[in-house]
Amino acid sequence: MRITQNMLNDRVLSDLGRAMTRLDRATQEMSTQRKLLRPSDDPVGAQRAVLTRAQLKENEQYEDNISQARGWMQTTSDTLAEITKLLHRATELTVQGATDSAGPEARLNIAQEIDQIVAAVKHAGNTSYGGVYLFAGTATTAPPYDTTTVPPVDTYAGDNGIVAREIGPGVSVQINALVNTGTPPLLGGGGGDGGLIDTLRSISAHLKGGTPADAEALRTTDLRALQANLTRINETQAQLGATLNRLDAAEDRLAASTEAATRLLSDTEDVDTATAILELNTAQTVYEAALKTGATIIQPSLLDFLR
Amino acid sequence: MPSGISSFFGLNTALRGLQTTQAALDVTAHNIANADTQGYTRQTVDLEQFVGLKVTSGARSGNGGALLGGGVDVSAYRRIRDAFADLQYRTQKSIHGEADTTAQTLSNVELVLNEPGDKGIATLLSRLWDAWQQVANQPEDTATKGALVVNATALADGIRALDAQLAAIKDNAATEFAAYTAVGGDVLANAAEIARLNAQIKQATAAGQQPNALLDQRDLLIDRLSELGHVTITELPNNSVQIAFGNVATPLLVDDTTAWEPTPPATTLYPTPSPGGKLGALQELSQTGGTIDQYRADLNAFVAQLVNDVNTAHGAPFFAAGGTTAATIAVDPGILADPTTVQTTAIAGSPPGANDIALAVAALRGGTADRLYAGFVLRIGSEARDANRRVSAAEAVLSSADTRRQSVSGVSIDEEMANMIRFQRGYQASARTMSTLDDMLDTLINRTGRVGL
Repeated sequence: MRITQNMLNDRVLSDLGRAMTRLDRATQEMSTQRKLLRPSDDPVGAQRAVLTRAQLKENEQYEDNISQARGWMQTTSDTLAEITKLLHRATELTVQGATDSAGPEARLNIAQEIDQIVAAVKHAGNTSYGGVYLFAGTATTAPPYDTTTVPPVDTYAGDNGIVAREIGPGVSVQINALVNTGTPPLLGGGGGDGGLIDTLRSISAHLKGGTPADAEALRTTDLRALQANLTRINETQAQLGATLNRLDAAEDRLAASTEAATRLLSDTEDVDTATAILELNTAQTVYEAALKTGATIIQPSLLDFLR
Repeated sequence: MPSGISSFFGLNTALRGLQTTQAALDVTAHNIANADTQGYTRQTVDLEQFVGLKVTSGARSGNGGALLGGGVDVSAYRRIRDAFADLQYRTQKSIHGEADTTAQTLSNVELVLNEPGDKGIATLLSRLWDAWQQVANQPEDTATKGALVVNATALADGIRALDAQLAAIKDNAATEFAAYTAVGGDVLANAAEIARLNAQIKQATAAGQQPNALLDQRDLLIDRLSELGHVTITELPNNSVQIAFGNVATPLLVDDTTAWEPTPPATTLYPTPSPGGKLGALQELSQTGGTIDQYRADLNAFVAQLVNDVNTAHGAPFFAAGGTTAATIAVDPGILADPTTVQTTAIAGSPPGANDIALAVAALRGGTADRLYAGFVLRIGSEARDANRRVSAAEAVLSSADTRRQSVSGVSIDEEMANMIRFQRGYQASARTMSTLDDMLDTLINRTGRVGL
């Protein structure tokens, strides 16, 4: 093949261009620490990156949901524990009031304390978390119990709607405890529904009544009703505990999924620094070699050796 | 009459030698001077023996006589060019032009796409789902709805901007195409110039001359044209040519007239059949239903899915019902005016803490719409990569075709130097022959009859 000077020049120039392009790419990968700079670098990888990124965002959001749900349920559980304490106190007082030795005055005092306990239970029922009433069903913007009107009104202003949080794709859990549904209802709205408030009100009425029939009722039906209310609270607590465990499990699963997704994204997008440095050095060496070859090759021609 | 040779015959032979080697040296000088001229084809001197002189004396047999060589003469100044190398180069040039234009445009598409990363549509879409989740977490809080509307607006704006940028890329391709094919554009300007050269070449060739410089210029122009489209060259008498683009019915020029003058036959060139080359690529990119339009259709499919899914789950327009294309997607004006009208529940009485609708919308995350978008990114990525690959392949083949052509037609300084020495020696030798003859004549003229003086 016949080779001319211009061919050599062109070849050196295009080789230099190629080496420069390689160097540019290597530098870019090093400085951005990413190998997937454009979709065309790895189309399938780019698609995977888009979906994985969405997955990571989704997991983040689920983790956020879980921590919010946990706060909500923890507060619910704490409130119920508080109510349980009140219930125990009420039981003691009822037993005390039911004994024949207690005089009418003492019973009246006990009745007043029971009324205070009702107020405390209603107050607990109005517990809010982040400005949201926990025991109001889905009517979360208004307090479910009236604590101000005199004489007291016990009706429940909330509803029986379920509040749920999504803790994973397609997995929702109920996070609120419903207080005005079931038999007996957890707290209820008074008016003979058998809920804790109703039970306490009836105890108070029986204490104030003072007749032997009242005392008998205190000893039998009221104590039994309190027992039923306690069982109900314990059941609810157990449910809350189970759901909290589910939240923990879901969080662990999310953490594992996030770790896997992060690794996948990193494998798809990020450079292996060792490889990148090696590539950069190689590219640099190639570029320098091309320059040196160019410099030595272009110079001489027969012209240089003719007198 | 025994001998018919003039005493001065040899002088003439030597003179022709001098003249010819001088001509050859001139060509060498011309080659060296044009070593870097674009489109220059190296030339050589074709030499031929001068017609002999019939000499009767000294004929050995019969009486036919012998032919005495009369020296040398230049028969032609020939361009060293390989028509097949030209063909190969031009074919590759048009393939390269097409791939390069496509790759550059698709690289612009990738730039406006901004994926994968934190600034593309995928991120905005994720934020929309996040915002819906926040609404599901705090349905009673109007601030979350406000944030949702802001995020949805950002997504709609992002999609509209992307669509507008794609449309702009398409328009740019169309404008570029128009600029090339318009009157005064590259295509017609080159065609007119080639037609003018055709006229001159024809005239010169008919007169028996060799218009090397004109042929070089014409070849260079054809090279330029072949980047724009795939040229088909038909040889006409007297070195003239007819040039057509690929499969386009109307030739670009015939002989010394451009067939397109005064206006390009837009209807026969656009949209079918493709002229190939840069024009073909621009046409494919910009035409209705072309590459960019297909991308926009993909984007529209994604938008239609998104709007439909969200609105169905929302139960009422969340995105404006009329905006189911990438160019028209927008948040429903009612919701935009009052974010609290975002529906969170379908339960009768709409209790503030119920979030069934919000949960249903948030559950759309990672669904068909997300997948359509990821598929859209995949498609652009694959096509851009394919174009890039075609560019590097075309570059490699083009460079080898160019090398091959250079190898035949390029000026080699070494070779010219060697030729220079050869011709210089030839010149010296002819000069020496002449002076020897001169010496002989000197002897004849000045010494004859002077013996003993």
